[in-house]
Amino acid sequence: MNVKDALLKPILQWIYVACSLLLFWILIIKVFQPQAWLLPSPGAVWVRFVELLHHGDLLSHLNVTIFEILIGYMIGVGSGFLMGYPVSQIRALERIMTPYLVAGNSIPLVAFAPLLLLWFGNGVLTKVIVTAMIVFLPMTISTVTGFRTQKPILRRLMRTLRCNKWKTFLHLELPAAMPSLCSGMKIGAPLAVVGAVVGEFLGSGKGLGHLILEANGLLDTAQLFVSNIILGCIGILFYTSIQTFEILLLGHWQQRRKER
Amino acid sequence: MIPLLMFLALDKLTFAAGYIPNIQFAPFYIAAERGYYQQAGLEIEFDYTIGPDVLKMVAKGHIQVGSVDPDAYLIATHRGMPLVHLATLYQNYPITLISKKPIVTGADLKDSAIGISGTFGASYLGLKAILKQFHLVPTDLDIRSIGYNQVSYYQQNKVDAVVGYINNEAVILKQMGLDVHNTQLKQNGHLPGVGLMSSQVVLKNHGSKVNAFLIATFRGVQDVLAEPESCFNEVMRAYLPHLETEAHLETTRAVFEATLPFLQSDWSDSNGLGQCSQESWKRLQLLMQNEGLLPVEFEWQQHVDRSFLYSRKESKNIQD
Repeated sequence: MNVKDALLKPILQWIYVACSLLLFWILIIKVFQPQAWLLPSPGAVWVRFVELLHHGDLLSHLNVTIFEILIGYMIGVGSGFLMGYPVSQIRALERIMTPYLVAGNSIPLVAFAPLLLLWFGNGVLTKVIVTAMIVFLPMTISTVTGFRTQKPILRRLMRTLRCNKWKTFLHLELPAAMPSLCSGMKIGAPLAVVGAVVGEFLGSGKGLGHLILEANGLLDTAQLFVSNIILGCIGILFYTSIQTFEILLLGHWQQRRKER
Repeated sequence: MIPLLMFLALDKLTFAAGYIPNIQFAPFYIAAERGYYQQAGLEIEFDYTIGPDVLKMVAKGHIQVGSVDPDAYLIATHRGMPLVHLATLYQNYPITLISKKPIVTGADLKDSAIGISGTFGASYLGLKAILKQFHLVPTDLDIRSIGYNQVSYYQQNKVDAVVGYINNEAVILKQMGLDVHNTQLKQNGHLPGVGLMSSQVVLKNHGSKVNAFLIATFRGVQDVLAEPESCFNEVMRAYLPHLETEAHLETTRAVFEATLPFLQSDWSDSNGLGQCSQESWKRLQLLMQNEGLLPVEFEWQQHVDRSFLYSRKESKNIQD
């Protein structure tokens, strides 16, 4: 499966759905004629978007949020992998860590995040940590699952072929775990967007989370829509990028398997 | 049997305080505790939705009466929210700039790191107005949005000053033994403070119920002003027992004592509780128009109902 086949059709379908939603939105406005503070028209949201773009520093807010998402995501994926791999290999470690991972997953970040603000201030660092934390857990679980569900017979084969730990990891464990790792990365992508905005909600002068808080404070519903639509688009783009990466990578692994 | 029937006959009304349970809401708690709402045929439910969400809840009719900052209220009505401002609870604008050193000139403030809950709302408007007094603009300072963490930021020296309420953050910080210098608006006493609002639909359908709520509430205000000590003890026992610890009691008492002066003014002494002067509203409107928060054609009179007034005569009649 190439990238074009895998993505072009779904993207066209997404555009159809987006157009349908837009028409539905326009229909609601025409039929019910709600006041702008309750539900602004698509036109009003577009006008606000253009205003924010030209006069409201939208791009600098966007840059800050994207930076937090990317750095937090990379740290979350990296640390999730580094935690998940030893847990998948050492049973005792799994027994020790599982309750803590479950507990960590059970505490909503919005409840824990105020502590981070207290400890690390309201700079970018706090937002990156919140983002990394929200990505960390699904990535850890996907890593454990990916490395755990491997056929013992293949491991024995690698030992028979006198492959060392590193070669076994590189040629057996990692390729076999890759679909699960990619799933974890895909789950983490939209969560990273959530993490960055949750971090910004705690207190921030920059970012789309700040724009949402400001819009809420000024009761500017059109600005709320602009910020939320942009966040949704970032989520879709980020997820699609990871999906593309997955197709490219797994396609590569699958191709190699065929060649053998 | 009769009390049960009376209870069943009570009309339910939800009041949004706009903040977490706090001694600042003592008049409402007293009115509930002493049965003023019940006598008015009301069963009150307290809601603690915070900030601008109260405006939306009230405008949609999910909450019947809400506490509101006057500037946020004017913005909401300018945006078309079908709200009506019914009464003014605080006679003064309580926003203050809390700093460790006294602010005498603009040079004392320039380039300082200022912590604020967000760059919107009453705090930001208050800060901009204070800065104007010193011929400064927000870009002359390092303004940091820190959510509702003013106390911890100030305590940990992460900022040079914070913007807060003079009857809350300023009191708490002083109680913690920190240096506290308050800088307020020069025209502070002449801007309206926190008020009470409802929606046009609720008033149309349940106007008498809302009026009964206002009368009962201002009976509570009057009681708190007349006998603060017993009211404080009653409220603590009935509504804030979790604050009756050694760590919280003194601070809560200090917040209560700092709140009392806001409930009355020379104007209310002459005219009655529940409103403030027209000049106060005009001044606020002008301030907001200068800051670009309201258009020049906006007229506050179209959105503020000043008909409710809890005069001494009325209170006497009720008590009789």
